[in-house]
Amino acid sequence: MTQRPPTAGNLFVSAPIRAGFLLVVSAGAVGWLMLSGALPARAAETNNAAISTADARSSLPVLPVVPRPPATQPEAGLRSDTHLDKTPPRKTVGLDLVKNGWTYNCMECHKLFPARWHYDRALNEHKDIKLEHGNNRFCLNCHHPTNHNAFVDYDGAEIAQADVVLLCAKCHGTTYRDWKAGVHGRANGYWNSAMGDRTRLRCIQCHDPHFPKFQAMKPLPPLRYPSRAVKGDDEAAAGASGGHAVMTQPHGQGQPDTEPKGPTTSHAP
Amino acid sequence: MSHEPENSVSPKTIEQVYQPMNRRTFLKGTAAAMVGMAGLVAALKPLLALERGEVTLHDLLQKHYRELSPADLERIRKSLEAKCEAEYGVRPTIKDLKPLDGVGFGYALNLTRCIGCRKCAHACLAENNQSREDANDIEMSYIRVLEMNKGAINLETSNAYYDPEKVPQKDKYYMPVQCHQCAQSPCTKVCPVQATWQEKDGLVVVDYNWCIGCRYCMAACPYDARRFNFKKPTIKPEAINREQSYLSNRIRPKGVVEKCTFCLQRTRAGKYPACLEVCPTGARVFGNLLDPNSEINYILNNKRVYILKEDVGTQPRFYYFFDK
Repeated sequence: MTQRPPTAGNLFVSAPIRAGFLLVVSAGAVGWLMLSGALPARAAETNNAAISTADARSSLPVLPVVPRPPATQPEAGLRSDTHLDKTPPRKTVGLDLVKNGWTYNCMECHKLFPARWHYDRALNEHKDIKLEHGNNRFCLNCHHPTNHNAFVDYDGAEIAQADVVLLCAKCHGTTYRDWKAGVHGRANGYWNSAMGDRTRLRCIQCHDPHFPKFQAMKPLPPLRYPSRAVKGDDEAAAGASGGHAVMTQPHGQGQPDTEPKGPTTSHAP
Repeated sequence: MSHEPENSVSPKTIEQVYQPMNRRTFLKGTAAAMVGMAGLVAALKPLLALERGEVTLHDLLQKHYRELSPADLERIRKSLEAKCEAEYGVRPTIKDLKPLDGVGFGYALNLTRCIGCRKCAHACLAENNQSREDANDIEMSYIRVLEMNKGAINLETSNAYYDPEKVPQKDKYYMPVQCHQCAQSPCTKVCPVQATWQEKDGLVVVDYNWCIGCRYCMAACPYDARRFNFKKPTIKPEAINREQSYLSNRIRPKGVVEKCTFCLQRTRAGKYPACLEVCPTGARVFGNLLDPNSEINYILNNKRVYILKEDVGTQPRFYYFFDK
C-alpha cells in the first residue's frame, strides 16, 4: 500500500479518471503542446481550443462513444408532500456528480482502462470507496468484468444497473423476499393501488453497497416542555417539577452535574 | 274493641307546620340563591363570546358529528376554514373523508430496523398541525420514541428524552409508540359525552367540537397516545398544513384532546401516513388488514409479531415485529 512517485504514465492514468473524460483530453493536449514547444501558459488557457485542432486529435487515442444511461435518483413519494423530508439516508456521491451535470457512465473511463481482478498495488482511483461488505474483497465480485455499467450474475451474465436488486438478491435472499412482499425498505405514495401509484426504494438508494451498514445519525431534537426547558438546573431540580426537570436534561455522555445556570437543553430558544 | 285511632296524628299548630320566615331561614335562602345565581352566570358566560361575535349560535348548538346532516357539516367546514384564516392567517381546505369500504387499517413497526432518529415524530408535527412554539418543540407530537435497554421490553427503564450525538447507541434499541387504534379501546369507553369513538375502518377519532376536555380518555389510555390542548394552539402560518380534515388534523380549539388518527386525511385518500413517508430505514409498514395480500398481512403471517401491553386486552391495530 505504498504510493509510488507519479511517473508520467501513472499521472496520465490517475488524473483523468478522477476528474473525468474532459480532463483526459485536456491533459493529453497540454502534454502535447508542451512537447511541441508551445507556451505552457497559453496552452493552459486554451485547453478546449487545443482539443478542437486536428493536430491534437490525431495524437490522442480514439475515444469511444458510449451511450449514456440515465442515472438520476428517482423521486420518492408525492410532489405535494413538500412538508415531509423523504431523503433516503445514503450519501450519494456519484449521484451528486450527476446533479452537477456529469454522467455516471463507468465505461467512459473503463473503456480505456480495464479493471483487473485485483492489483498488486494500491488503487489510484476510487480511493473514496471503503469496501466493507462481508467478505467481498474485489470490485468484480459485483461489477461486471467487461461492462462496467452492469453488474455480474452467478454465471457471468450481465445484470443491468436498473436491476441492482437482483444483484443484491444473490446473497440476501430473505431480504429480497421481504422487499418483494413490501415489508423491507420504504414505500412512498399510495398504499391503495386503486387510488394512486407507490414508489419503492431500491437497495442502493438506502444502503451504500460498498459499506452497507447504516451510518449512525444525529437524532432530531427530543420533545421538551417549553416553560421548563428555559429554567436552570438548580431551580428546576429544587422546584416541585423536579421529575420533569430530569426529563428535560439532555442525555448526552459526559454531561457535567454542575452546569452553569442557563438553558438545560441545547434546543432552547 | 278499642276506640283508639290507629294512625293518630299528633296535633300541630299552624306555626309548626308552616314555619314563618325568621332571620336564619332568610339568610339561608339568600345564600342559596346567590350561589345559584353565580352558577347561572358562570354557565352563561360563554354567551358573552356570542355577544362579542367570537362564536355563533350555530357553534353553540352544533350537534355531535355523527348526527350532523351533510348540509350542516358543509356549513361547519366552511366556517372552520374561515375561522382558521382569521386566527392563523392561512385558509385551509377542511375535508370530511369517510371510511373506505372493505378497509381496516393496520400498522406494523420493525423494531429491528428502527434507529430512533425521531424523524417520524417531527413529520407528525408537520402533517398534523399540533401546537408548537418553535421547530424544536415536539411535545404535542403523537409519537413518542422510547429508548430501550437491549435484552428486554421494559417500559419502566425506557427514556423518551434521549439526545445522544449519534443513534443508534450500541446497547439500546428504539420503540416509537403512538395510538394503537385499539378494537377494545379504553379511551372511547370512558368518554362521558361520546366525543371519541371508533370508525368503521378502525380509526379512533375525536370530534373536537364535542369534546368537553375532561381528559378521562388520557387517563384511560395505556399507550400515552393522547394530547391535551392546555392553551390555544400556537402555530406559525408557514408551518400549517392546509390539507386538513374535520376529524383529524384541523387546528384544534383550546381545551380539547387530540390524538393520532393514522393521518386519516392521507390514509383515507389512499396515501401513506406521514410518519411512514419519512422513515429513513423503512421500519414502518402500513396497509389494509382486510386485504389478504397486503403487506401488513404478510407481516402478521410470516414475522415474529409483538403487541405492546397485550395483557391489557386492548386488541391494537398497531403491531411491532422483528426481522431476526
